[in-house]
Amino acid sequence: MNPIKLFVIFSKVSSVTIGGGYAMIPVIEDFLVKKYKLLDQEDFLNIISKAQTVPGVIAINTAILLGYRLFGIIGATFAVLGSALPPFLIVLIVATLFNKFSDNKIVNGFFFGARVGVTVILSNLCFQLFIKYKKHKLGLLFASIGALMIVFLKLPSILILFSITLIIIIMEKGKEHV
Amino acid sequence: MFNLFLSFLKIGFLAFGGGYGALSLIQDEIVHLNHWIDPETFLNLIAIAQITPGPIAINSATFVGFELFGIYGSIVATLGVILPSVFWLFLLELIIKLLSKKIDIQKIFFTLRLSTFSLIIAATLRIGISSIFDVFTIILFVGAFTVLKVFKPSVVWIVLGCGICGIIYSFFY
Repeated sequence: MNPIKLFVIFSKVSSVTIGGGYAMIPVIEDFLVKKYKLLDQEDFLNIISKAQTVPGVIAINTAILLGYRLFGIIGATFAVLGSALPPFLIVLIVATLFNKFSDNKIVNGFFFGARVGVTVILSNLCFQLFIKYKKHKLGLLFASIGALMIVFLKLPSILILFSITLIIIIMEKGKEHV
Repeated sequence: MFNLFLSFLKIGFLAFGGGYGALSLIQDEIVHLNHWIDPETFLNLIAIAQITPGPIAINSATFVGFELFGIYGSIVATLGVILPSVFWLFLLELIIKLLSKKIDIQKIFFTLRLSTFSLIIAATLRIGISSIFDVFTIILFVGAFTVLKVFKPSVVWIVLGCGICGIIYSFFY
């Protein structure tokens, strides 16, 4: 194993996983834990939980943590390059084609439908998150109110993100003291 | 181009809970604040990001950068969205070492992720409102949602399938 190999592994992972960060986790696990045995399951879960804790692209966070762990800064650099380059190049190609054919009737028809598909996926994600956080009724309530404020009052997302977090933390603190 | 870098740096810094949480931030930055691309193109971009491999935040950074300033724009935007990861991970290690006994950092991050749900709902509503507006799109939405729930295919197939339905529909109109 060397940094170049790490680059190859991460580029494989990022060029086969479609559908964003969460879809990548099982694939990364397959490659790194099962196929190349770079680390065991528990280590992997630890890294994933750290990668999900901090903001940023989950796949990139994972690449940094893992690359650094194996080969220091050079490893992190190669792993990040591996996971960013293939999607970068593919999107460049698609964007070029998109600009060429953006007046095409078939292309427009495709996007007309594909947007509905995107809405379906996002709605499903919301549905799953509602179930995941169902114990945190207060949090869910504030999250929903915040979403409505972003959409209909056009408040900035960042403002809502931090105010809700603050409110939830304060309210939970209050509960502990009662 | 420096503004483009700053915008994506900001998105990277605040993308709690990964790409879907960042969608609403990306929309704020590139559509509502800077008017770099119109809402219509933004929706197409999300659809493209869903059917191409890789993390959604990287895909959108590349796409928006390219639309604005060609290849250099795409490099700058992508770097912008990646760099904050390094900072946050470094900070996390540091905080865990220094403060883990005094404050519950895990809990704060958990709450931030819970709040990010708000941004995900917002993105869903905004994208939904502009994508679903007539009988055809309502039927397609209900149909595709049912397919997703019953057969649990990969999300790619949902987006591609809906796209194909859209092409067929466009022949009748």
